[in-house]
Amino acid sequence: MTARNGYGLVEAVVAVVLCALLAALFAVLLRDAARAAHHAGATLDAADAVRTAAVLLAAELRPLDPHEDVGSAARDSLALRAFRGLGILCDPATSTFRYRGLRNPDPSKDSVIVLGAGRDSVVALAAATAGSGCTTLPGERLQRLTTTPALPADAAAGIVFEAGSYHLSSNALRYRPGRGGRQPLTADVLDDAGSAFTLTTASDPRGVSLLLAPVAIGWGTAGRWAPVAPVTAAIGFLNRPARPDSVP
Amino acid sequence: MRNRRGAALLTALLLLFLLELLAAALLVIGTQHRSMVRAQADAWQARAAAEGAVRLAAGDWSSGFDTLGFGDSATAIPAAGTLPDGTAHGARVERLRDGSFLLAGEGVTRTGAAANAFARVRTADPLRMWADFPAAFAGGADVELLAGAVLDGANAGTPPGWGSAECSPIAALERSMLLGAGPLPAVLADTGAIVVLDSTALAIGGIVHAPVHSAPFAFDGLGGLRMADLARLADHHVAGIVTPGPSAAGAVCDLSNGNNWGDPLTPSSACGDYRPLIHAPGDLHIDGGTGQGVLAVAGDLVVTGGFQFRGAVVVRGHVAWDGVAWGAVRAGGVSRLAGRIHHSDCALWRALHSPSVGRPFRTAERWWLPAF
Repeated sequence: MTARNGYGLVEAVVAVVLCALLAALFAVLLRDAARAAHHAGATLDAADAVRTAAVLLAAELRPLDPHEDVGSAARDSLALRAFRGLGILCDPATSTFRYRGLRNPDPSKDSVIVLGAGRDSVVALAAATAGSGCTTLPGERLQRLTTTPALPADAAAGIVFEAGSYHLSSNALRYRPGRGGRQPLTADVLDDAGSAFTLTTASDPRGVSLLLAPVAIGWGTAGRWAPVAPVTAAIGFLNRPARPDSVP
Repeated sequence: MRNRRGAALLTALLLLFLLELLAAALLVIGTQHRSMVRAQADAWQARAAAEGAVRLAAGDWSSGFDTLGFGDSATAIPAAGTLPDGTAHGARVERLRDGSFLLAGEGVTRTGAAANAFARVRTADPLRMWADFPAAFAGGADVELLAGAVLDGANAGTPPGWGSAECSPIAALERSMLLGAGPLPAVLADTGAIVVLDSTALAIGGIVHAPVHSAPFAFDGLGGLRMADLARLADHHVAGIVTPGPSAAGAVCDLSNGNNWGDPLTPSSACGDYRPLIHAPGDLHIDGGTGQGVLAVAGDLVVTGGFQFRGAVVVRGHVAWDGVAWGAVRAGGVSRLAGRIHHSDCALWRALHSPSVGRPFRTAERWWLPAF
């Protein structure tokens, strides 16, 4: 009888079972790792979106005068004057401002709140060109702003703004400049139904309460869960009307 | 030994590599997020420090800033500081074209994150306020001088008990520059207003009719400031029936007491130099007592009980006066005057140049400006 190389049936069965066990073990390991990675990623995305939304809106909302600069407010939208630059009038003869801002003034979409001795007034921005003749401070550049009507005689400074609105729609915080399209500012991870803008005291707004709920995520048969708890951010207006006994 | 071939080691290594790749990716993402969070926290810290610097500058105002010309700037007081966590802050003051001031604050964290904050404040201009007191009493409607009333615009008197320490020579200089050097009328009434004088009442300096509503915010403020501005500046807000009087603990004047309107009768006392700005958001009844400074009433004013006041009084509504005033009084509504009102350069000057009037206050509209 010749010697035969190879596996017997029992050996083969044992090998197959061992392989199956190992494969199952690795599959569970990989699935858990992938689930953990997915959960961690979703948590970070949601936290990032919530944080970004809160930071962006706080920067945008805090300097507003609630009675002058905040327009229609609904659960899912908030119309406002979005400030884009601040100019200090340095040469009235040429309407030259020492300007600092997120971008240069744009006559196609910007207006100007003129600050002076009387009440603040709003004028349209007709033209904006580089200016000269004044000394600037760090962070400033010179802008010559032509407005319609012309700047009042007591003008001292101007806030350049565009009309805009923020929306909580299609699972993201979105910004709509004027009549343009809505641009997402966060990843699509916010729950529309669970998120909301609320003006605190509609008749005398002192701030905006911002509720941000991340959309629930799921994995296989494990059910769906929120990666982070809903977050409420209270953003107060710096320019809210002062109580008679308040101090600056 | 047989040469046996298998893939177990390779497979295990591959799986380990995949798991490590996953862990590394998570670590990178986590680290990036932590950096972002830290950067945002630093930015907020810097912004908070900048806003704090603005508030500090507004709260520690130097009257020297009033001499800044358009476009001039100065380092605010306190000049700069450092928070316990190492965040540095500072502010500067710049005079704007409309006379207001831009407070520019800056905060820089230990990690180098920087932020700005800007606010606009105003200060009252005492020189403009003089123009609102061109007579012992200025009324925007009918005026009745009751029996025994004495209104004296002609003698520019020094209040009893006050001397050179209280009455600066600048008072007379400012008065003659802004109101003229001659005697002033006892009553300046609006054109068309009826002035009724009891036979026993005295109007020293005479009664003059002139338009008195033409000045900005004529009876709704003072020297170009609206009543709302005065409310923001005020040391005390009062309502109802009050009997003011000095309040001190030893040698320290109690500034927190809303009924403490200074001590005009004893200028050397603890509250002798305290000349507050008092604001009444509605009607006010003063029943006796003493006070000095600036009294601004947004409603009607009733004075009884021999109340004595030294300084400036502006009333938006009606006045029923039966007290003693050194300084001047103006009221927009119908006025019934008994007691005495003496136009006094000295008392007016002391009131209009009090620290309470000279400090900065937020503009009526927006005072925080956007920072970029």
